[in-house]
Amino acid sequence: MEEYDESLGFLEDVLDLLDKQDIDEAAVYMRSTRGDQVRFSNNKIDIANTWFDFNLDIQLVKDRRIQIISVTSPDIDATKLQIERAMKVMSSLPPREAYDSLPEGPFSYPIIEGLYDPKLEDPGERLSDIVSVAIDSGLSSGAKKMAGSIRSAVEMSCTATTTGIKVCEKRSNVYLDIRAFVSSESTGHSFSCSRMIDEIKPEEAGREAAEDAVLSSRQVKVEPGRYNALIWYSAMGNLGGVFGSLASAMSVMMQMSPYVGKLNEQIGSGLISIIDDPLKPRGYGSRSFDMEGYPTRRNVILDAGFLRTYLHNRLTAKAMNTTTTANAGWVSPQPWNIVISPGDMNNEELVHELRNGLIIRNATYLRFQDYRAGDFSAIIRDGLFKVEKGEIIGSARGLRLSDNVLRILSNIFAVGRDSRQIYHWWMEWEVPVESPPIAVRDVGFTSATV
Amino acid sequence: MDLFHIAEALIQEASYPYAEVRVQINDQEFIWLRNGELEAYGTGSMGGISARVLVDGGLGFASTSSEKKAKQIMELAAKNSRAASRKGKVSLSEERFERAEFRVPTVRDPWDVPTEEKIELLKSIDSIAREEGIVARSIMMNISKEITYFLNNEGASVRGEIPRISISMMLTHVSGQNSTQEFESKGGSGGFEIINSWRLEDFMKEISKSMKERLEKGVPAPKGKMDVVIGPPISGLVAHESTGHPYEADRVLGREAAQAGESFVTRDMLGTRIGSELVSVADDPTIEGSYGFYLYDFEGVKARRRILMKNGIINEFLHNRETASIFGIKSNGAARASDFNREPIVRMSNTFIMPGDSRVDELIEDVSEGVYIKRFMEWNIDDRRYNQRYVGSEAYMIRGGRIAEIVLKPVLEVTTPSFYSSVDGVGKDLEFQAATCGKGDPAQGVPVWTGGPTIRLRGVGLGGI
Repeated sequence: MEEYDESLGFLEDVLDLLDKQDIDEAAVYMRSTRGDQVRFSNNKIDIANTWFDFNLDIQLVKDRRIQIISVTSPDIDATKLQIERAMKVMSSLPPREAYDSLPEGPFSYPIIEGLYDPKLEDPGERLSDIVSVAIDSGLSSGAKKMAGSIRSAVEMSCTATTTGIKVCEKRSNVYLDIRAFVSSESTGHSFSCSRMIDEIKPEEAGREAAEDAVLSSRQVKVEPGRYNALIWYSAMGNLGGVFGSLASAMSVMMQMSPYVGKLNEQIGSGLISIIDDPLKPRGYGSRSFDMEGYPTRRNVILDAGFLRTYLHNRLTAKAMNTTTTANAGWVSPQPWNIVISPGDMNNEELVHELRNGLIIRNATYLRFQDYRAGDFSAIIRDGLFKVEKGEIIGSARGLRLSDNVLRILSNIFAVGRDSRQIYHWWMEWEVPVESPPIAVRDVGFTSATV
Repeated sequence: MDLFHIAEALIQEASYPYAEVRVQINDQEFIWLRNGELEAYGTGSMGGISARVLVDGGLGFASTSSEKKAKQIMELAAKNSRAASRKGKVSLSEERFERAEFRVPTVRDPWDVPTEEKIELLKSIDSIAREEGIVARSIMMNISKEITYFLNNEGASVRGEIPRISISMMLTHVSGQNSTQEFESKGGSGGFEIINSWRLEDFMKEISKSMKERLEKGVPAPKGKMDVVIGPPISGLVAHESTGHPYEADRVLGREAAQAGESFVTRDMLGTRIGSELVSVADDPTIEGSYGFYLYDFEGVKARRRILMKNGIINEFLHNRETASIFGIKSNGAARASDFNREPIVRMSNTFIMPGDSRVDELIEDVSEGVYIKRFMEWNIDDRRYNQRYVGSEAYMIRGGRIAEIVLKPVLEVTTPSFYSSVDGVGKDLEFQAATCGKGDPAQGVPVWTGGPTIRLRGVGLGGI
C-alpha cells in the first residue's frame, strides 16, 4: 500500500514538472506493478519469479507535435532528464495534420466491481500450492507429464493530464496455463484465469488438460480439406482477440484489417456479436479509463454480423471524422475486454449439432498472408477431435487451420451458451476474451505435402 | 548509490550457493512514418536490476527498476528459490568465468544523429513507394542502446554496450478487390552508418514494382510435387524456425513445453542425419555488426559460433548453464534475457544456413518446371518444429530453366526432415534479415538475424486449399 501512495506522490511530481514545460498539453500513464510467477515442466518447478515493475509514459504536445517518453525508473530526476531531452527535439518534429486536443477533465468514471484482490499483493507460496494441485490432478487423470505456469499481478494504473484529468484504478489478475502430455504428440491444454486467486481452479484445469491429452492419443486419419468445425475455448481465446483487434481504427487506416470499408455492412453470420466490454464486472480486461483519460464504455463491434464500429482513440477518431470510443492506446487503439455473445446451445448440443466434423481445441501461431484480405493460417494443437454422428471418435494430427477471417465470421452456424473467461500464453494479441465455443461451416484444413 | 554499485554490493554480500545480479538498461528511440507522415515518435529508458539465486535445486528470480527496492531483490530471489525447491531440481554447469568488458564501436553514434535527418531518411525511402503508387506504407526505425552489467558469485563480471538500429517496413497495395502485402526488416549493431549497407531505396523500388505487377499479371500458383527454389528471406526463416528453435536444449528437455513447445529433435538424435549434406546451419552471436551480436551471454559465459547442423547432420544444441548441466557439458553461451526483469533462457543470436557456391541463375536453370518463391508473408510452424508453412508473396513459375509468369500465393507446407533432405543446391548469396525472436513466459523478444542463401528443393509439394 505504501508503494501505491508513493506512486501517487510521484504522479503529482510529474504533473508539477509538466506544468513548468513549454508545452500545450500532456498526458501521463503510470503503472506500478508487482508480478509473481511459478513456471513448471516435466512435473517439476523450474523457477519462481517476482517482479516489481514501474512504467511511466508521457505524451507531450506542442504545436500539434506529439512525442512519447517512456521510463521505468521511479526517480523524478530520471523523468526530468528525459523530458528535457524530449523538449530539445520537439521543434524538429513535423506537426500532425489531424490533431484533437486531450479531453478536458474531470470525468465521472464507472466503478467496476471485482477488479482487485488484495490477496495477490504477496501471494507467498500460494502459487506453488496451486501448481502442485494442478500437476497432481493432471497426473492422476492420465497425463504422463504436466507443464505450464501460474502468473499473478497487482497493479495501480493511473492516467493524468494537464487538462484536468487524474484517475487511478487498482487491478489484479491471475492465470494458470497448463498443458498435459501423454506423449510428445498427444497433448491437452487448459487454463483458469480470474481477477481473484480464490477463483483459480487448478484441479479442474489439470484434469481437463489431461483428459484431452488422453483423448488425443486415440489417432484417426483425417485428410486435408474443408470440414465443419467447432472452435473450442483455448482456440477462441486467440481467434476472439484477432476478431476484436482487427477493429482497431489504426489497423483499418493502415489497410491491415479485412474490416476496411465495411462499416455497417454485414460481414458475419447473424449469430455472431462481438462486444468490447471494459465495464463488465470481474472482466479480465475490464478497466474504467483509457490512456487519454476518457471513461471507458461498452462498444458493440459486430452486432448480429453487422460491423458497427471501429475502435478509436482521439487521434484516429479525428482522422476518420468521428468520436473516440475510449480505446486509447496513444498510438494505436485497442480492445480491452472482448466478449462474444453466447447463443443458446450447451456444449453437448453443440457437438451434436456439428454432427460430423472437427473440434479445434487450441489454435496457435496465427499468421496472416494478407491482413486486408483476412487470409491466415494457424497451428492446431492440444487436440483436433474428429466427430462422427455427434460423437468424438478420435484425434487427427498434422492439420493446420487455413482460412479467412471474413469467411469464418460468415460461416458461423451455431454459438454455444456456456461462456468462459479466456486468457493463456498463446493469445498473442494479448486481449482477454470471454467466449463460448462456436461452430463454423466449411473450415479449411491443410497439411504438409511431404 | 546507483544500480551498478548496488549490484556489486549485493553480489559481495550474497551467501547463497549460487547468486547472480544483472543490471540492464535499454535506451530507445522510435520513429514511425505512416504514408509518409510522422505517426509516432518516442524515446525511452527502460532499465533495472535483477537477481537470480539457486538454493537446494530451486531457482528464484526477482527484479525491480527502483533503486530503493534494489537491495531487497537478492533476498526475494532467495525466498522464491526456496519455494521453487519444493518441486524443483535445477543445477548449473561448471564454467570458467572472466572479468570482461565489450563495447560495439560506432563511426556515427545513432544518438548524435539529428532527429530531422532520421525522419528525412525514412521519408525518402517512403517516397519511392509513394511514387510507385503503393497504397499503404508503414516504415519504422528503432534505435537502441543496451547496457548490461552481469556479476555472479563464481567470479564473473561482464560489462557490455550494444547499440542497435533496425528499419522495418509494411506495405499494402490494392487493385480493385485484390490486395497484396509485404514486410521487410533490416537491422544490425553499430553506428548510423550501417544503414547504408541495407540498400533500402533499391529494395523499395524493386518491391513496389513487384507488388503492382503481381496484382496485374499474377495467376494462381500450381499445386503438386515439383522443384521449388526459395529466396534468402525464406531460407533464413527456415534456419531460425526449423533448426534454431528445435535445437534449443531447453525445448529438447521440455522446459518450454506449455508455451512455445518442445522439439521433434531428441537428445539421442545428436550425430544423426536430418538433411542433405549440402546443408550446414550456424548460430553465431560473434558476427560483427549483426543484430543478434554479443560476446558474453547473460550468464557471463563467453560466446562462440555454434554449428547446429553440419553437412546435414545434427551437430550441436544451444545451451545455457541449466541445460548444459543436464547434458553434462559446458554451456555454449546461448543464455539471453530481453530486459532486466526477465530470466536468462536459451536463445538464438544470428542463425543462418551457410552459403554454398551456386549463383541464383545456376539454381534456376536446372529446373525444368517449378516455382521460385522469392519472398513470403504468411508462415507458421508447429510447436515441435516439424510441420511448417511458408506462403509466397513474390513468386514466379520456372519453365525450362527460366523465370516465367508471376504466380500468386504458392503454399510450401513441408516437414523439417523433408525440407532439409530435398536440398540439392545452395546459393552463395547469403543475406540476413533482422527479426525479434519471441519465446519464454513472460514472453521475451530478443533481436536476431535470420540468414540464408537461395536454395533449391527437389520434388517437394506445393499445397494449400
